[in-house]
Amino acid sequence: MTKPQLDPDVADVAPNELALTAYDEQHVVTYIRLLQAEGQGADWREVARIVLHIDPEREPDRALNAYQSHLARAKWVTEQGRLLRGAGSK
Amino acid sequence: MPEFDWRSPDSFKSLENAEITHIAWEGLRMNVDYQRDYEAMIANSPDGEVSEEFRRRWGICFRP
Repeated sequence: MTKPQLDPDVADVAPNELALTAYDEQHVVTYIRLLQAEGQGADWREVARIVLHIDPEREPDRALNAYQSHLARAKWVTEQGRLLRGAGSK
Repeated sequence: MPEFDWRSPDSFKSLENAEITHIAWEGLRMNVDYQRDYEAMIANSPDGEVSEEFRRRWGICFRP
């Protein structure tokens, strides 16, 4: 497993592949932060700015796309034990 | 259990070198869909039995 980074920049859109990617492994802390923020009912704009490093005032579309796709990916990654099964496969 | 704060990347430092099982669990327990599903399962299962569907959906198993 690639070492997770605590506060990495993110791509405009999260991966959409049917297997865990190196990007997923690097961004697993980002995913957990997004999930926690959602659970606490945080405003997505604040989450985009702090976690994704994208300013929703300046780039609203890019920020929303990045937020939605990464949150969806975070949920996908945590379902069905994918993180566990993906470990060591690469 | 460490207290994570999504606003503070440093609060996740313990995950940098954590075992994948630990990271996977933290991801799962933060997932609101999982939390909802778990609560519903517990509410419908007074004997604590975990349904096959729940197991499959979240990929976890419980020891009796």
